[in-house]
Amino acid sequence: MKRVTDCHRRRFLQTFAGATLLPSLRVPLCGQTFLSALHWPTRFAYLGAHDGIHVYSIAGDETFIKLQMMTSAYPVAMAISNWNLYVVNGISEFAGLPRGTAESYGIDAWSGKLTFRNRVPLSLSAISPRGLAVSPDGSAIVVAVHGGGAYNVLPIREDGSLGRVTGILKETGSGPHRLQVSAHPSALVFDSVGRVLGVDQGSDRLNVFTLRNHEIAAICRHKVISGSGPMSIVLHPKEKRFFVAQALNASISSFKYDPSVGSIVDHEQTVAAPVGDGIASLAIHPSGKALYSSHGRGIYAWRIAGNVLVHSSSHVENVQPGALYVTKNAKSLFALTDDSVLRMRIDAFTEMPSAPVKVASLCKPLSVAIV
Amino acid sequence: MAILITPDDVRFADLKRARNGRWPEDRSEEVSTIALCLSAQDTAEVLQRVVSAGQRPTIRSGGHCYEDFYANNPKGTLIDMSMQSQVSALSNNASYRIEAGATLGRTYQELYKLYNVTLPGGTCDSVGIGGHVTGGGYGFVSRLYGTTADWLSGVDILTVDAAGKVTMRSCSAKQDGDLFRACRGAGGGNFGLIVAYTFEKLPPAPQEVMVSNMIFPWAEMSEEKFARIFDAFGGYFATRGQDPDTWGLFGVIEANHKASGYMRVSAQFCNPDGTCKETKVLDEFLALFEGLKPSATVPVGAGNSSSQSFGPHMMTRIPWAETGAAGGARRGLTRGKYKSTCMKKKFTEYEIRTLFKYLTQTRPGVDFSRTLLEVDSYGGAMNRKEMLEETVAFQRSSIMKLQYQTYWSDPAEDEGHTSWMHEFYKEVYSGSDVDAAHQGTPYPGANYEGCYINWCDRDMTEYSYWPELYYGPNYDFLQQVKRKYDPNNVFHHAMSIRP
Ligand SMILES: Cc1cc2nc3c(=O)[nH]c(=O)nc-3n(C[C@H](O)[C@H](O)[C@H](O)COP(=O)(O)OP(=O)(O)OC[C@H]3O[C@@H](n4cnc5c(N)ncnc54)[C@H](O)[C@@H]3O)c2cc1C
Repeated sequence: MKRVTDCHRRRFLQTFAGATLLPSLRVPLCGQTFLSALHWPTRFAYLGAHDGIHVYSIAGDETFIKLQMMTSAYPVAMAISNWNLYVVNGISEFAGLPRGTAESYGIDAWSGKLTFRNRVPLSLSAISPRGLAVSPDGSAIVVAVHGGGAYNVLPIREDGSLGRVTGILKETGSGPHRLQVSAHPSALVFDSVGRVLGVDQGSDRLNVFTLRNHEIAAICRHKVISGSGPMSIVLHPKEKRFFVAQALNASISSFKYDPSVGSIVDHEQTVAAPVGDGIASLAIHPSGKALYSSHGRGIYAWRIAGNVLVHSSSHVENVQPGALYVTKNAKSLFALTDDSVLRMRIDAFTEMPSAPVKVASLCKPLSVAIV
Repeated sequence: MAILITPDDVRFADLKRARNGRWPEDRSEEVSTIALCLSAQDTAEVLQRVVSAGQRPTIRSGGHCYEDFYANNPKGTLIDMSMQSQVSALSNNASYRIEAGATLGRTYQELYKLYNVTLPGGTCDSVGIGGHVTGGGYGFVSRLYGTTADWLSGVDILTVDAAGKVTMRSCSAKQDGDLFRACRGAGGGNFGLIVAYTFEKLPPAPQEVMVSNMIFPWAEMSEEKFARIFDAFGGYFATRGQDPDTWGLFGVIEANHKASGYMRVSAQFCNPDGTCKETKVLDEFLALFEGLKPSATVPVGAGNSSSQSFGPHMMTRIPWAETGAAGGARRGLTRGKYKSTCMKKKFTEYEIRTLFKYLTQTRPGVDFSRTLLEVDSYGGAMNRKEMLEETVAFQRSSIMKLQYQTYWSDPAEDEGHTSWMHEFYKEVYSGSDVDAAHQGTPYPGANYEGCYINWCDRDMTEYSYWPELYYGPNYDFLQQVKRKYDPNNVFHHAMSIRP
């Protein structure tokens, strides 16, 4: 009996996928996948922090109860797929060689607790990875390697563990800013067909990649404003456009995307975003009508009207989030700050966030995934 | 047009293999393409294509790398330089240009026959110039002439700029001087793809050399005799071996494991004028071992040593031209593990005891009959302090260079050989002479000068300070050069300079 229910819950949860990864202060990151169960009584949050992965059960999006802590080296990005938690460790050395690692954990569907599956090294020189996304068919993860200037593909095996790196794409490129001496892939998302959209903070480039036989190849490259440093990306639910937050010139841009061929058709708009300190994160409302941004200080809301972004008067001051995360049920916007997780209720009608409430205290949270 | 060899080509299975049969370690580490480049132009085009496609290039010239630096490149492209092997003089028999794919054997022959000059070293004919020279390069006449990199005056190298564009640079002391200096000792696969080396001058080829072998069968060996051999050898190079008239003497202890049956001390000698009219220095050296009763014959099956007697000692006179016979590149037949040490002083009692312990040790399932510690003499012209500023080879005070080697064929013995070697090396450098923070390594100081990058050893990266072992005080400089000329770290391997 339990098995049947378990499977049902799995299937139910598998239908959800999203993303957001949360950087700590001064450690810019990007966002990836989360799951949300609309009607399930208990949900679980996985928060990556400097000391490991903290597991919480959450109720009503407001009460976080700590369940477990797993040691993990600098879990900068995480994503959930098929009751597996995938984690990227943003480290620069593993077993004496210059490379980061990725980890797989099994999630117990009823307790939410994690079981460690395996840890695999990224490719040689793939240091300080920062972004992670799971392919829509759950067969592979793709890692954006910020420090090493590369993308890595790792297959997901039947038992949910990760295989060795099967695809490597080495990037080159640079920009005029002092932080742009080389390519720095920092965030990526999958479209529903299984193509990867990636932003490169070092080379001021947006890219579309295909995955074939667990190998990765570029099919579209698009240059953005020189020195802007694209850092975070969200895909509109209809997939006809995507938004990019640029860290180095504190701006947000929208681009027209053709999901049928995987091409970036046009740059639509660039707006200046209030303040900026080298971190930029975005989250999009599931309706596709509101966008939330932060450039390190304050959280700002934007209305998406057709192909135009309109700055709303709604904003949250006095917070310094590293990254933002909207739940699939569209009720909450979470922000990771230097020492806590803040929750903002999203108004069902206006889609604007309320004042933040601290739901968990955690030293330097880096990433989050919710199931 | 480069020749591209892909897995559907019958040559692929052979050409993908490294000389060291351990690499690639796993099928998933194999390259997807081998590009045989026929000219500098070809090479630049292939490199550009590889970089633009987001692939990783690795480079092979002679393929003699001890570790997996070029062979471990999952689905990447291996750029093979072996077809570019011209050795030529640019003008008036001066300014020699040697393409990266030339082997040492071919280079020696051509330099000798066409121009009557030589390179200071190495000893193995099939080693490639491409990887060898940039790592230093030393051999039988290096005490007399210095390292090969010491004589270098120019490097033609393809670098990849920040935007991913391939550029050909001719660097020298006057042009891109920092990159030029870095190429003199940093080792291959770090900053770019070297197409050719230029030497404004090269030393004259000696006219002849004297070679002598002294065999010490293990059957007649005691720990005390073992210690006396090492002490005599080390003591000589720490004292008399420093005098310039001895610099033409290159000595080697081939401390084979007991399982091989014998140890050998050999010497190659010529006077500084390149002749052997007078053999006083060699006689003096050989006399040190007289009391230890060496024989001149190797036990059956262990190579030849047809010696003739000249004066009191057995030695063979060999015309220079016959010291190097071109060899073919054998790939993948033997598996090997190597470690190195540069020594500033003669052996301590503790070191000798530990060497004896491991060279006489047996382990179940591990055949040590092809295991040895090679002790090469060093110093002489290699220790010219003025080269410290011009090259990045910081080992300029050593008297001996040690190379730990073990060979086997059966992959089932991998673990046995590598763990034995690991323990052996660690224990030798865990004596009271090594400070607590650097136990297990020949950290540069009063006794040691670290390790030699051409004898690379990936395992040393387990020590966070491994760059100091290989590059001493020059690592910061090398990192600056790396960031300037290879900002995207296109050229990398397990021990490459970190950006
Ligand atoms: C049997 C044997 C004997 C040896 N004897 C000596 C000796 O007497 N003295 C001594 O000093 N050393 C000696 N060595 C060490 C030798 O010098 C190094 O292994 C050297 O790196 C080999 O150069 P290669 O071109 O043959 O090797 P490869 O394996 O082709 O290259 C070695 C490294 O250099 C890189 N590289 C190769 N070509 C280029 C290029 N064109 N541009 C940039 N990077 C390149 C490779 O990617 C790799 O990282 C010996 C090695 C062996 C196996």
